[in-house]
Amino acid sequence: MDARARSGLYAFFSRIFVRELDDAAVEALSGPLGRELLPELQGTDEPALARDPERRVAVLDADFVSLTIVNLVPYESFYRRNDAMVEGGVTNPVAQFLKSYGFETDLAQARALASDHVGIELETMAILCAHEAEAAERPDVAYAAHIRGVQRSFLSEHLLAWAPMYFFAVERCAHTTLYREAARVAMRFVASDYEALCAEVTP
Amino acid sequence: MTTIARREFLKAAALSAGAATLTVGAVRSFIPQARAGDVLAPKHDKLPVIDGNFSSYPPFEKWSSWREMSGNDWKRGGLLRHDVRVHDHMLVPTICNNCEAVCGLTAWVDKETLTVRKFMGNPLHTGSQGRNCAKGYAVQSQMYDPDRIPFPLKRAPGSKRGEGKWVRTTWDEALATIGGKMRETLTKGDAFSKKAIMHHVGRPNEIGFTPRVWASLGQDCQNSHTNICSASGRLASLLWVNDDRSSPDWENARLILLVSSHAADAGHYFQQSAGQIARARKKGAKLVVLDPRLSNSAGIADLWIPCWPGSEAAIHLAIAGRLIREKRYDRAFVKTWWNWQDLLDDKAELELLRDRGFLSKLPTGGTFEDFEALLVDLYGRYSLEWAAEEARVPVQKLQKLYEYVVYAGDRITSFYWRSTAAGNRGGWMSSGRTGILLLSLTGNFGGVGALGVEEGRILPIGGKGGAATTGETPAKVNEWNELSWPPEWPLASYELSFLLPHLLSDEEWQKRWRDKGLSVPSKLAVWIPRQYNPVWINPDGFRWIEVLRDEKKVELTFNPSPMWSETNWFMDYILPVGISGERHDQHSEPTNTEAWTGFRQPVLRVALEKMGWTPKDPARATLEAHMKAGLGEIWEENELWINLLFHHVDPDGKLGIRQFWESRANPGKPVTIPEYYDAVFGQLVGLKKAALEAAEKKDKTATTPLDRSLAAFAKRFPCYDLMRDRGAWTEKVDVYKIHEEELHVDDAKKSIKVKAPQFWAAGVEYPTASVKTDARTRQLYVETPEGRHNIGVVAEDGKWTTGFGTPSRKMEFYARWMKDWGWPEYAIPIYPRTEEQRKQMVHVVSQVHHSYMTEPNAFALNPIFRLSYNIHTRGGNSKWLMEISQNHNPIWMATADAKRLGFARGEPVRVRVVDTLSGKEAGYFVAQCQPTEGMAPGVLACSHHAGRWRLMNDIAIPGFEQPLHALRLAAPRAEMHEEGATKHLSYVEGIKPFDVAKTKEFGDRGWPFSQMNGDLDNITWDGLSGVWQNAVHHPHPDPVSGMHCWHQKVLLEKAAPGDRIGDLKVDIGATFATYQAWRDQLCRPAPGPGGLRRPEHLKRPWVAITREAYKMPTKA
Repeated sequence: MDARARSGLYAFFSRIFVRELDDAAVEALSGPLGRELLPELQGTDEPALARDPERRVAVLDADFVSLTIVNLVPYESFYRRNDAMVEGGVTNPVAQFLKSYGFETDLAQARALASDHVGIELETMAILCAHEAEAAERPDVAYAAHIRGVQRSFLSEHLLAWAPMYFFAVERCAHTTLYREAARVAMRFVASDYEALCAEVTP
Repeated sequence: MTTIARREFLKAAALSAGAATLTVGAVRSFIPQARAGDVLAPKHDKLPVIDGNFSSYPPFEKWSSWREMSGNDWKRGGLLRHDVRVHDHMLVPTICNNCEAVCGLTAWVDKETLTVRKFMGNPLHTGSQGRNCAKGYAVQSQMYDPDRIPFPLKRAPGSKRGEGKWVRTTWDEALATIGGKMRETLTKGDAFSKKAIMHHVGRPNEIGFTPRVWASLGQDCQNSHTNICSASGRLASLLWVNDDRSSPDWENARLILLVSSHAADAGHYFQQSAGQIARARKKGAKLVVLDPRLSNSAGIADLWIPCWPGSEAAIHLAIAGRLIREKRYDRAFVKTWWNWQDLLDDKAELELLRDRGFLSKLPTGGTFEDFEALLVDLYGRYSLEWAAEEARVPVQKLQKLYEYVVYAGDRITSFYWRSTAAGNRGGWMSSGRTGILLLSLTGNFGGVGALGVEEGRILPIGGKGGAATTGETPAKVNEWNELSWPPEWPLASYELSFLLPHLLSDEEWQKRWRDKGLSVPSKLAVWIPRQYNPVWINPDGFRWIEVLRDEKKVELTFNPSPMWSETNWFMDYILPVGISGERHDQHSEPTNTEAWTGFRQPVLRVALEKMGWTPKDPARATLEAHMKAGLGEIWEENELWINLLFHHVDPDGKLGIRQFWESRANPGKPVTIPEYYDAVFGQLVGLKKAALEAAEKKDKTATTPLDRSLAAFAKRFPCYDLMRDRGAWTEKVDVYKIHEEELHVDDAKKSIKVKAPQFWAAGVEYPTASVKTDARTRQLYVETPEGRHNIGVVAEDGKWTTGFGTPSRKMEFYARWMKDWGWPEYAIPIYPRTEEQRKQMVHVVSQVHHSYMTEPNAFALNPIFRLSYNIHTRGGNSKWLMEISQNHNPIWMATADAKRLGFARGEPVRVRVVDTLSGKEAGYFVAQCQPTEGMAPGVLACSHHAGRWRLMNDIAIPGFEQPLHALRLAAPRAEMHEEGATKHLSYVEGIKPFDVAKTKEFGDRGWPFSQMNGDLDNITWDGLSGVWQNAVHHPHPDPVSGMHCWHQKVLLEKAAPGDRIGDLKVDIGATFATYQAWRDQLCRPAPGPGGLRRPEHLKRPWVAITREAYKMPTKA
């Protein structure tokens, strides 16, 4: 699977978990990619419901808030710190990771407390994959390989170190098919991507 | 084993095109799409970038709207957060005002509240590269200091100066009164009237505007603080290369030889230098620190040499001597660039050196080999063992230094600015005069990793706004002010400013020179300090108080001052002007190997104007903007001077002043800031080109009405607009070896244009055919009616190069003009080796030399080391800086000395101050004892950057809703007692926490900024461990450079019963006698050759003087 495609898939899942749906996201859910990735969703009334702003807020957005703010905590530091606190400052390990590679997070844009939000971590992978694709297209094979190493590190040190717990919790707690199925598929995709990277990247 | 089949996503992958756009854009590369300054600035690889791409700052194109949370919003974060508050900032660049390094800043202006939420670095400023020290970030706390002065104040009618009674006045009244007095003075038109309006600058932080003001006034009255700062350090550079200040290439050096902590942890340019030094060390450079005090720099150095103050010359010459003996020096450089022939040709000078015991025999020939033999004879006898004894350090330390010098080869640099130069008599010799000998001997001058000059690395253009005014350049001033340039110090590198009150008090001195035909003033009509607090920071502060109180000697005083100071008590007017982000100044400093300029701006004004605001009066826009933003009636000096001169000093133009401040674009109106600075920055070719491109781009991309309005403004004032946007510009990079630049020969005109031999003159042009070459020296010269004018040097490859700025165009190992002006024994780098020589050469022997320490309790006191978090007077109005400094200046002494004398840590100690020339005792101060292993035995350290005082808690302003307060963060309350010439000061009340209450007039967010100062109920420092030691310091004017030699001989005693830390007593009769002794026993007065007051080639800041004024009048 090429890097540009992987970037797209990470972007798709990031969008679902970073904040409530908007019209563009609804379009994507009903489009070819949404239908392929989330087949169970297509058999429900949720795609139609999502097109009605009032019902979207009442059902889907309410579930999103339940899964990311009220009942579950979508931040890595919550799972990994002994005191179970969200680390909001510049000392957040993901913020530091991003900074060391020349990235910053716009928390206002994500409406997040910290850079280790699941949606931001997924978006980080999307960005890294896009950079790999650009390097490969130049072509700069060595640099593309380097970025794949960075991706592998990021998955093993961050996303895969906690996101499975979060995604399992979403599966259990979600009231809507959208978030239940998205969590399950996202989990499978991330895990499979990591497996593939491990197979390709020489440590 | 693969447990999850990736192939299940293959189909999805094929469908994923375009999905990348789904992200919300939470993760961004730091790479701006069009990177800040790429198109505009020369390519620069030192900006804070990684792999040429990433910056740690918001992208330049987003500076007009940058959104982020504040620290307070984050504190409310976590699960308790109710919402996410995002502040929309405009990042307005400016430059810091807290020290001379003028690092770049960006003010983060909250567009909703019109407050500056924080000051951060400016990545476009290639000197500071986006970084700042604590003082830079503290600017915000100075801006919102609750004790800053909110409106113009006038001494209450009927009260005397110093009584502390004030009334509120208006800017218009103040300008009318002051302008009227100035006009009345200038209208007289006699010699005294041209010496009567004295401007006295503490922190200039601009480079040309104010001298233009004084030039336009026709006054030889621009006075600086340099003679309490760096005058001796500069003299060393003037002697060698006739350049005002040295400029090291730290970053590429292999050996960094620091004389004191300056540069790396506290002194001039330290924030910028420290980064460069750190990078050099990362590449393997060695750091050596010569300092009796274990400073932060010394603590991390490869080698700390705790030498006795003033003995650095001995170390420099001993290392040079061994290099010469072992022939490990750069023969080619010395042969080409030193003026060694001049010394070999001067038999009388050589005989003097022989007779004084510095040479064993006279050279027999005139070749370079003869000169090399002379070097061995002259310096070979300065041994490391002797130097170790003179400096009181183990000889192994000097051997190690020698090894480092050999290791570093042609990559050695240093910096001669304050430290030994500022502390000691002959500091110019112990610092750069001998230090540059060592560096240039090893070829370390002008090149990569070496010491260089400021010329070429500094852009002094602030006074060149004449294209915007109807009168372009003011005429030269045809007077010489003896109060700033007294005849006793003809070679002073800067004005004798710290002696102003002494000279005004000394009627005998005035009469002495009047009897010889000079027009020596006995009073001033107007005295104006600028960011200057001489009462507190100068030696002998009570002498200043005496003179400032005397309304017959100083008829009117006013201080454009952002904050209260000890000097302000004695002013007639205090006019509140802005600090770092509240004023316009062009500034440039040679902090690295580039030529950069910064632009200080009133950031609230800029933000308002960029949001579409326009002032009622364009010439008062800064004042109007600050009032609109609730800052108070805070103005700036540029607009203040323009309005004062235009409307009040010369309203009808009859004095010839108004034309220099009248708009060329709008005759009849004062010039505006955009007009003036567009002309100023238009002087730079690279900047102008980029500015035109940037304005064009703005014009093409404007979409909204506001954009179009801003684009039209940019088209009208492109250079000003570029600097308003960027705050910094780098015109040149890699400025090295400017002495090897080719002379400009105009082939068409068959002429050559070169610098004139006189400092005051413009360039001169000669026919190329008249240029001759001196075969022996390789000098290019022209015979003129006034004699030979050296214009350059022929390089090895035959090129005609400019050479250095000296009369010989070489590095002047032998400064013949010093001999001509009566100082033959100091015309080469030299230092006495024997007791007999020391007695003969007292002018270059420190007043605290160890031979003067004859009593068991005698010490050399070093008061001048800087603290990285304190800034003379300006630190006192920052709560953050005060919190970390606590106005605490104990007296540090070696543990062994404390034990020997029985002093315990924290104990009060009486410090009696005596002068080793006059024998007078000034008095004493009581300081807190701090024994430490970090001091050389016999030397004490007590920084004079702390020890503030105030005389009252509340300053009631009739009719205003609450009293003003002075220095509540910095100064304990003190009481002053005076009995004739004997003065006392003691602290009676420490600093205390307080609440800040808002006013109706300035509103919730305005002065005194209660919303910003809720934490002042939690002050934890009382300031009672500091002392105002300067008051008890003898004034020590160096007989050559004129620099106040700061170090003092002191006698330590147990405190007397009742003594408290901070108490002081001084007899200003004794200090006056010391000033007279140094003047009369050590100086060699003008006139010099040709009956001149000063050598004509030597820099004479600030206003241009006519040749006629250089001639010293004599009574027929």
